[in-house]
This record gives sequence, structure tokens and C-alpha cells, in this order.
Amino acid sequence: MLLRILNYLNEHSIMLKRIFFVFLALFVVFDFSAARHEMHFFGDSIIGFWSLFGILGCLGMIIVCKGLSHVWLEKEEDYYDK
Amino acid sequence: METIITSKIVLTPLIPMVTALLIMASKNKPNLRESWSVFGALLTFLSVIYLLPRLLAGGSYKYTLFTLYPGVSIKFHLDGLGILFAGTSSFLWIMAGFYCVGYMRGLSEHAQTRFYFCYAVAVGGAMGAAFSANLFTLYLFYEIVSIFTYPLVAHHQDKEGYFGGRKYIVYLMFASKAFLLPAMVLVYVQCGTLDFAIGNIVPGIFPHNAAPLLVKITYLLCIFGFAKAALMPIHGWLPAAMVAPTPVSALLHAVVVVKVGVFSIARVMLSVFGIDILNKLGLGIFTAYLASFTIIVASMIALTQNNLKMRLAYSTVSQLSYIILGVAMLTPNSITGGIIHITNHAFAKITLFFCAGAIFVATHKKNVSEMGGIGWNMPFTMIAFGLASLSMIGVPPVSGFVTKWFLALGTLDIHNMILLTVILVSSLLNAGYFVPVVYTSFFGKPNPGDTPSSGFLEGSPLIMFMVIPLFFTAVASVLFGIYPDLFLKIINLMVVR
Amino acid sequence: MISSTVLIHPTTWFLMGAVLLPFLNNKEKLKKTVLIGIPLIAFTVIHWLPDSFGHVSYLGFDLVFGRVDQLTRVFLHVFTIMAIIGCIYGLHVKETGQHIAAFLYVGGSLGVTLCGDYLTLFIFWEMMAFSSVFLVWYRKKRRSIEAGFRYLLVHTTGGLVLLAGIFLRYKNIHDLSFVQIATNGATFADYLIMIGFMLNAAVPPIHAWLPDAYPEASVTGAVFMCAFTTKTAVYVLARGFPGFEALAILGAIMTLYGVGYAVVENDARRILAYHIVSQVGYMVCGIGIGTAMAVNGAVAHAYAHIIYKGLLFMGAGAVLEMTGKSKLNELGGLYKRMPWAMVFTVIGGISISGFPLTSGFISKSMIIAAAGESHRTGLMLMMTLAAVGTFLSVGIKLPYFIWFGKDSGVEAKDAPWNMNLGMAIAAFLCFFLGVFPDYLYKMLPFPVHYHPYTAYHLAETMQLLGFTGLGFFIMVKKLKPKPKMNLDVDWFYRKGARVFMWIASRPVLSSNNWINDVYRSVGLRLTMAMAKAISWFDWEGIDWTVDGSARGVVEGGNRLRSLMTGKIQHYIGGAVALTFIILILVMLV
Repeated sequence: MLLRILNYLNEHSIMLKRIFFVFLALFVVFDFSAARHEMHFFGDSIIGFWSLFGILGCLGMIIVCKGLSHVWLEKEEDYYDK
Repeated sequence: METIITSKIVLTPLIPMVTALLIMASKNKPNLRESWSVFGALLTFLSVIYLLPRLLAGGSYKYTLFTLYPGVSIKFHLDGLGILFAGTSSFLWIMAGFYCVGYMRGLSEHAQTRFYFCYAVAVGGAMGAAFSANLFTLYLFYEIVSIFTYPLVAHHQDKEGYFGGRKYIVYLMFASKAFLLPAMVLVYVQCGTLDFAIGNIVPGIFPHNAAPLLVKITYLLCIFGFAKAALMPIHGWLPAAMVAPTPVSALLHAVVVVKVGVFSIARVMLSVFGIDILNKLGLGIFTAYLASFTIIVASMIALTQNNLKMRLAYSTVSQLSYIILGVAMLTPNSITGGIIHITNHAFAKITLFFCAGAIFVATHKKNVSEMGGIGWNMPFTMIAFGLASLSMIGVPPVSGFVTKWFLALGTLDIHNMILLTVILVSSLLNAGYFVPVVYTSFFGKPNPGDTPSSGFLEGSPLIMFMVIPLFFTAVASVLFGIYPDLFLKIINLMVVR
Repeated sequence: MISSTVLIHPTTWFLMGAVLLPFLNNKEKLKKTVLIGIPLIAFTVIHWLPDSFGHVSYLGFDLVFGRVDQLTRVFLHVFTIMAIIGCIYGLHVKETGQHIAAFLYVGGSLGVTLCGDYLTLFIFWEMMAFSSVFLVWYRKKRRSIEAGFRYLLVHTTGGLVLLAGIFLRYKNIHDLSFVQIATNGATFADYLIMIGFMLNAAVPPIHAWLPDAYPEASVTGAVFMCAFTTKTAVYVLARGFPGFEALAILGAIMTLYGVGYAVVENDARRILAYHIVSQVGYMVCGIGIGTAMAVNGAVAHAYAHIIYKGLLFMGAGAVLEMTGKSKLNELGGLYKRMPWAMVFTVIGGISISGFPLTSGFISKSMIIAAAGESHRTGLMLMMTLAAVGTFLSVGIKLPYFIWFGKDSGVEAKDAPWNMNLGMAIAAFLCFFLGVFPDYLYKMLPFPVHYHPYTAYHLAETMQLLGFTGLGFFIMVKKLKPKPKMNLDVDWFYRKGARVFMWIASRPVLSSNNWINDVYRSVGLRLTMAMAKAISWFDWEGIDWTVDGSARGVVEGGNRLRSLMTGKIQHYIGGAVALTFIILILVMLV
């Protein structure tokens, strides 16, 4: 039964993607209404700050980490066995 | 309590000698002969135990056998150091007695009477050394041990045996004749006597106006003269002696012979020179650094050895210097650590050698690299090996930890961080060469060309004669770590003044 | 007197179990009962512990085996629950040795948690190291054996550093009690102890043992290991070093360091291992900040993390067990064949990412909020960034490339019932704590004034997670796993060890052999010369004719020969025996 649900979702992945984008937009909208109590940090007061943080952080992390890996640290799996 | 004069103290060195004669007399009846071995060992141990209560109450025993001329005699006197050494050696002789049956018969070794005879005399020599009251007696029994272990080392009488035996006896004889004999003479000349200052480890027997240079020369001759302590660079005889059958390596070169060496050095340091003069002349710290060098370098060499007995031999060289280090630091804590290591190391090392021998008898394998997977064929043996290794590495609560604890406290007493680092780093090195044996035996694969051993190899009676003692000593190692109090009490009597 | 206190200490039960197990080899039902029964007993026992018990005298010190306060209880609680889950998960393992090792390991961990002095701590600390290494070795592959050896050596070194610190501390203050150390009163000894603790907590740069050994451990072994070593270290840091600035900074760095590697690694369990480094970073940072809320957060996070990290390792372990593979580039599309494992692992993934209604939401954010409240903006941002990375690497990337994505065609059945049950329990707990956080908050050491379910928090979290997900799908092609590994600081000691062995086997060994051969050139000649001299002295009284000298030379040669045949002992033996007989007669007469 579980499999049926999962297969259904897999086939309708485009629909899933659309729902996903809708939710993203909803999150940003929700941020307008969320009450802010304590401002520890300038970003707390900006609407949608965390969305930006999320996307930029994610992309930045991937680029930096993958970059470091490619340039320096990546080795064959049997590197130490030689 | 006072010291009573009784000839009963001579029983302990005497019983092994008598046992030896009985062994020689029963050479055509192997079972009777082996029983004399075990029985004699048991009696020797009991004679040591008999002497213990008075010692624990603060008293002692002594006896003079005869006097050659003033200051030179054959004399015995008991103290904590001596009884610990004698008790350990005699008890482990009982274990070895059983073990030898399994080993010698398992390999159908030749000349077994000569073997048991020399074995017994060697232990008797060690007993005499343990109870010696002066340098002359100590020297006499020390030499007896050398001479009677030579046939044991050369036992196989093949090229390797003769080669190893020759190296062994030349090292020991050269050191004792060239260094020890002159040292004895020098001590007599400076002190007027060869008698130990039993009962107080602080003053020693040297007069206050002794010339420092002469004292230093005498000291150096002493510590290098007792080659059995395997202080580098006089250590080469120990790996060479590994050509002997393993029961020899186990009891003698892990317990009796080497401990006679460090015991003698400890005795000379504490009861001939004394803490005062060693401190004044800086000889204590000098010896400590010498011992540290041996500890580290011998461990490094052990890392490179594939032959299991060789690895254990260099480990022994390293561990003996812990004892010397402990005594050399000259504080109550460190001396306690050094002396208790005589017992702790003896039990652990004999277990390790017993295991090596059992493996050889069961599978004819000598090298660690061939021992892949034998842990499943000989589980009790390898578990015992593992427990004894934990003691050598110093993992609590196994006995080796007690040693390292006191040694470390000693380094803190003299504010020496270098020595503390030596002790800690050597623990790591010990792990480096013991752990691979354990993981190879349980999780390694046998070499492709070898015939794999199959089944449970520890069931046959001859093998059981070997495995039961070694498991016993391994468990003892753990117990001594959890309950070290009896030994600590014995040592405290002579150390805390 | 001593027997009742011994039985109330949970470690005793694990030790008894460890001793009992070898004898139950052929009695499957009994063995399984013991395996589950012991952790259950331990879980019940911890509720009745007195505040202080188990005082033993050893080596002249007063050892305290039982010191219980709120901090102790919460860790005992989660450790025993994890032990139950782990044992259920591992019921199918046939090798008794693995179970014994696991029992000793858990017992050691509980012993450290309960101890009141440093000597007891050290005893159990070493017990943990030496038993957990068997969980690595039991995988039985060559790489596992080598990794286990490195693991043991690293932990031994850490233990020795800890021991050095304990010795020096004892020398300074003559007291071994394990108590909080004031931030302005820390001595060199205390820093050594802290470093010893930090090694077990996998704080960079002494963390590399974790991603080295955990992926090589056995399937069930890794589940145990991920929970106990690091969290025990978190406990001792929380007990001894709250408020130390170094921990706060190192913790925050740790969170990014671990997650960075997790983003680029290929092996599923190595990703999770690096991620442990990251999550423990939150805890270390919280301890370093030192306020009540921060320490509360660290403890809460430790609690939650044990459960969901265990769940993730169980999932990856199930995949490994069923398919034999753990590398992401070899997996994919497994949701069809192992649906339940997938569900549970995904729950673990969203929990670790901090979705609302999961345990991560109510625990991790407490630390971040504490950082905010203490105006540690830098730390707060670092930790939030690490949360982004967490969701990216473990929340999305890991499940995507194992369960979804391109189908790798790997055949697999769903995991056995006990593994699924273990995962189900853990997954349930993730949700339970997320929906009813007060159950956890009540157990925390300080009173809790934190309310996770605020609108703002929800908004922040959903935006963060949602847009991170977007980022993943944009870059999904770049993130495709390749069969490569990344170097870490263990490069230094792995290469260094080779250099060291070279030194040991070349210069040192050849010097040794040279010295040992000196005996032949110098010693042997000198000894023979001395022997000849003495024998000449012996014969001096005899006729000096050619006969006498010839006899002397022949004797010398004979002596040499007889020294080699070993028959000489008969004569010596006889002589000695005779001497002793004479001595005995002398004594008795």
C-alpha cells in the first residue's frame, strides 16, 4: 500500500514540483504575519531574510565545498593503500 | 618485630636444588620426574609464604651460612623486595611446571631430564639471589643462574641453538667478569664490607667521605655488569636467547633470569648505594634517562619484529627498564611502581610467552603475519594474550595500570615531565605492537599458501596442560590490577621509612 | 552492603550480560531475552538511583562510582533507551562477540556518566575505547581491521593525554573529584583533560578518527558507536567545562566543518559520520556559551540527536546489510524495494533538519536561540548555516541518492523485522518529542523558558528549509556522487606513521643489530682471552716445557669445543650438587 502511494508520487513528479513552489511562496507570505518578539540580529526584522539565507547559503555551500574538494582534497578511494 | 636468625630461610634456595637432584635421579620415569618439578615448585612457593607473616608484621629473617673472611660471606636476609621476587618466581615455576609437560611432550623434545634439571637449578639460583644479604652471595647465585641457563638456551643443539647460546653466555659472562667483579672489589675496598643495608634504603653502605668519582665508576660497573637486566646496549643476549624452547623463554627470560637482573640492580641501588648518595651524585636521574632510552628504543624495535617471540623479547627489554626507571627516580611512589612491576610484568609476560609457545605447538607458526584467524581455533589462548596485552599497555583495571600509576606519580614527585612523557608514549608504542597480534588472530585471514588450521585446537590434553596455566596467569594479571593491596603492603614496609 | 549498591549501577548489568552471553551460544531464545532484557533492566534501574553511591577505596583513593544529578539522569535516560533500540536492531547478529563488545561499550558509557571522580572516569573511558574497537573489527574486511587499529591508537593517545591531565591536576590540588572547572581557574592540567574529552567529542582537528572508523564498522556496531562515544564526551564536557570560550568557537567551526565534508562525500555512512561532527558541534558550542538555556539546548540536542542519528545509521545500515553497498554512486531507486526503511530514514532526515513536529525542531533551535540571546551573532549565523547544510546533505542529498533518483538496479529485500522495529521506535520518538517537547524539557538540568512553537520560529524554519531544498534541486547535477574520497587531517598521522615505521625499521633496527654483533668482535675475543689468561694462571705451577704449553693450547681448544656441546653441565651439576650436600651437612652438624 505504501508502495502504491510512493509510485503514484513518483509518476506525478511535475505536480509535486508545482506544489513545492506554491509552498515556498506561502512560507514567504507567512513571514509577513509572524510576530517578532526579540530582535537579536538585524536580519530578524527583514521579511524573507531567511529564505534568502537558505538559498544563498545552500548554493554557496555547494560551490565552496565542491570547489575545495575538486581543487585539493578529492582523491581516489584507495589513496592510502599505495 | 625483630629479625630472627634461622636456617629456615635457606630452605627456599635449597628446595629447588634438591628437586634438581631428584629430577636427575628419576630420568627414566618421565611422569615421576615431572611431578618432582611441580612438587618442588609448590614446596618452594610454600616456603616463601611461610616467611611472609613475620615480614608483614615488620620483622625479618637472616642467616649466615659461612664466612670467607670479614665482610665476605654467604649470608641471607629477607626483605620486601626479596620476598616479592622469590614469591613471584616460585609461583610461576609451578605454572611453568605444568606448561612444560604440555610443551616438551607435545614437541617430543630431546634431553628432557637435562632440561628439567637445569630449569630447577636456575630457579634455585634466583631464590638464593632474592634472599642474598650481601654482594658476594648475590654474585654467586647470579652466576649460577647464568651457567645453568646456558644448556637451556642451547637446548636444541642445532646451529641456531649453539649460536644463540654462545652469544647468550658470552654477553652474560663478559659483563659479569669484566664489570661486576671489579665492581665488587671496588665496593669492598671503599666500604670495608659487601653486606647490604637491609632495612633502610636511604643511607647505603658507602662512607660519607667516599670519593665521588670512584663511587660513580663503581655504580656504572654495577649497572652494566648485571647484564641480565637488559639495559641498552647490553641487551643483545635476550633476543638471542629466544632460540630456546618457549618454556625457557617464558619462565626464565620473562621471569627468573631477567628479574634477577633488575632485582640485582634494584638491590644494589637501594641497599648498597642508597637513596642519599644516588641523589647527591645525580646517579638516579642519570639511570632514569638511560632506562628511558631503553624503554622507547626497544619498543620501536619491537614494532618491526614479525617473529612473535622476538617481538616479546624486545618488549621485555623495554618493560624491564620500567622497573629500573621506577627505582631510579628514588621517590616512594616510583620505587613502589618499579618493584610492583616485577610481579605485574612477570605474570603478564609469562602469559604472553606461554601463548606463543602454545601457538607453536598447536600450529607450528612463529610469525605474527601467519597467525591470521587462529584466534577462533585457540580462543582461550588468544583471549589470555589479549588480557596480558592490556596489562602491558597499562589499561585499567589490569595490573599494568597500577605500575604506570605509581611510576607517573613518581615523575610528578620529581617534577620531571620528560619522564612522564616517556611513560605515556611507551604505553602507546606497546599498544602499537600488541594490538596487531590480537586483531590478526581474530579478524585476519590466514596466508594464502598456508594450510589453515581448523577446529578447536585447545581440546587435546597436551595442549590443555599449556592453556590452563596461561589462562590462570592472565586472570591473575587482571586480579592483581583490581586488588593490588597485598603487594603494596609488602613494598610499603621497605619503602616508607 | 556492597552487593546492593553494585546491582543498582546499570553497568553491572551490562557486565553480567557480557559474561553470560558466551554461554548462551546455542540457546537462541535465551540469548535474545538477555539481549533485550539487560538494557530494559538498566532503563528501569536508573530511575531509582540515589544521589551518591558506590564509594570504593582503590590505590589509596576514594573512587565514586555513582554521582547522580539532573544532568546525569537525562543522559542515562537516553543512553539506556538507545541501548534497547540498538539491541533490538542487532538481534539477528550471530556473532556473540559483537554483542559482548556492545554491552561492554554501553556499560562503559554508563560508568562514565555516573562517575564522580577522574580515576573511575578513566577506567570506564578506556573500557569504552577497547570494546568499541571490536565493533569496527567485526566487519572483518581488511580496511575495517586497519581502520580499527588506527581508531584504537588514536583513542589510546587521547586517553593518555587525559591521563596526563588527571595526573597533573592531582599533583596540583590533591583531589580527583570530577567537578565543574571555573573558566578563569583552569590550569594546564585542566586543558589537557579538556583536550582528552574533545578527542572523544571529535572536535577538529582531532576528529578524523570518526569518519575513518565509523563507515568501516559493522552494521549494528556503527549504530551503537554513533550514540555513545561522542555523547559521553558531550556529557563530560557539560559537567566539567561549561562556559569555556574555546569550546563555543570550536563548536561553531565544527558545525560547518562537518557539514562541509558531508556535502561532498560519497559513502552514506561517511556522510553520516561527518555529520556527527557537525551536530556535536552544536552541543559543544552550547556548552561553550555556558548560559542555562545554552546548556539546556546542548543536552536536549544530545538527547534528540542520539535518537535520530541512530535512526539514520540504522537506515544506512539496513541498506548495507541488504544490498552490500553503502556508496551513493552505486545506489538509487531503492524506495521500491525497501519502502519501510525509506520511510523511517526519511523521518530521521527531516528530524535532523529540524522540521516542525520533529525532535530536531525543539532541540537544535534552543542552542541557536541561546546564542542569539547572548548576542553571539557570529556563532548563531554559523550554526544556522550549518542547519542549511544539514538539510542539504542529510535531509535531501542522502535520501535522494539512495532511495530516489536514478534507479541503480540493485536488488534488495526489505530489512528484517527487528531492524525495522528498531527504526520504528526511533522514528516514533522523533515525532513524540517533537509534538510533546515538555517530556524532554522536564528532564533538562535547568528550568526551561524556551517555547519552540512560535510563529516566527516556524516561519524562519520553513523558509530556511524550503529554499535550501530549492537550492538542491537547482544544483542536483553538480551533486551527483562520484567514487572518490576526500583527505582530512588524518593524512598527517597516516603518513607520519609510515615515516615512523621507516625510522624504526631502518636506522634503529640496523644500529641495534650492529651493537648486538659487537659482542662477536669485541666481547667474544676479550672473554676468550680472559679465559685463556686464567687457564694459563692455573697451569703456571706446572712444568714450563713444550709439553706443558701444548697441553695448555689443547685444553683451551677443548674448552671452546665443550662450551659448544653443552655437556659440561653434567660436571658442573655434579659439582654444585656436591657443594650443596656439603653445605647441608655443614648446616646440620
